[in-house]
Amino acid sequence: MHRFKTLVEQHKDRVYTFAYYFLGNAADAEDVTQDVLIRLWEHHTALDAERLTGWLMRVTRNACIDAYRRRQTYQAAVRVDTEGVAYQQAATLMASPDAAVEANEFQRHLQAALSELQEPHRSIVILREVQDLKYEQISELLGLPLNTVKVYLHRGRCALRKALRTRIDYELS
Amino acid sequence: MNSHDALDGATPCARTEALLDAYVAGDVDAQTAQRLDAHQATCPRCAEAVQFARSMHGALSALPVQACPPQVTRNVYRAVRTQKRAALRTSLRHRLVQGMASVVRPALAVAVVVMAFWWIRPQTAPPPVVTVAEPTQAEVAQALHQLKWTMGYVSGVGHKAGVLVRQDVLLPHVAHPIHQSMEGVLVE
Repeated sequence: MHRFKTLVEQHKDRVYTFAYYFLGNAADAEDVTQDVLIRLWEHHTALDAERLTGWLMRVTRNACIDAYRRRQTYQAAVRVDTEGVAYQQAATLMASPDAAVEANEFQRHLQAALSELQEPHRSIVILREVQDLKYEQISELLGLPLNTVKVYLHRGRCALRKALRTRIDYELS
Repeated sequence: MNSHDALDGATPCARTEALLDAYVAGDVDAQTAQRLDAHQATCPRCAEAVQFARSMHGALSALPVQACPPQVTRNVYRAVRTQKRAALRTSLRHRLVQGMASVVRPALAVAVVVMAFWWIRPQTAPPPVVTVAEPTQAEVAQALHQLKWTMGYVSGVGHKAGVLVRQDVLLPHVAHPIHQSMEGVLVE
């Protein structure tokens, strides 16, 4: 139990941060983090320190994808729309008055746009830009070739920039 | 990113747009970066796009690490304690069943063996105890009298049938054996 608590303290913020930016929703991020840490309890004795971080992030990502799909089944799917319509739901997700961090408007739009990116671009952008993982780590974590990770990252940045631009232009208009 | 061959024929604005994110992230070679720098200086639209991309890139890098709320870890530890208690109960129950089985199985085996022996043991009935009262003199005399009377009657019937019943049938085959057994009884 002591070792488990140590691991929780080491990794809880990393797991929560990924889930928070992936799902764009603190409540969903809390649920995912809780599930992932309970799974860590069930498997931590079988994992050595080297493999643990990669395993943990893989489990977190899969849990986030499951949570996102569940949400999509009862919420209208919001896709990045270059025509500048139908952002309301994603926008309200990040504009929660209960948000731990007070973000400026640009950052708020950025986080909302990030949570709308398609997979695996979303995961790769978060892992690279927010959590500062190396290309090799991302490649191993997602099971993708190194060059594929770089290509996806480029496409993810491009899509994010366009979505962000459209959001801001839409709000300004 | 060095996939610039396909962009050689593109306009400077198209090239800037295609390489914008890599340029801002510092993922283009020096020559390409120089070309893009030079174009920005002459194209306000691309300059603004680069600025926007830099802002986005900076804001992404500045996205803070989110602190996991305390109630999440509290819930996790509570769930873990519940799992541990459930696992302990299951383990104790399992051990109890195993312990009982280690006692009950041999006892059952012994009971089966005992029952098997009881079932297949040879069934010998004790001889019935017969108490025979010794006949009195009067009873023996009566029996002889009845026997003689019976033989006389049968002899008369036999005489009519032309058969010497007494001589040929009764004496050797009936009277004598009876007489002998009567004598055996009287002797005892």
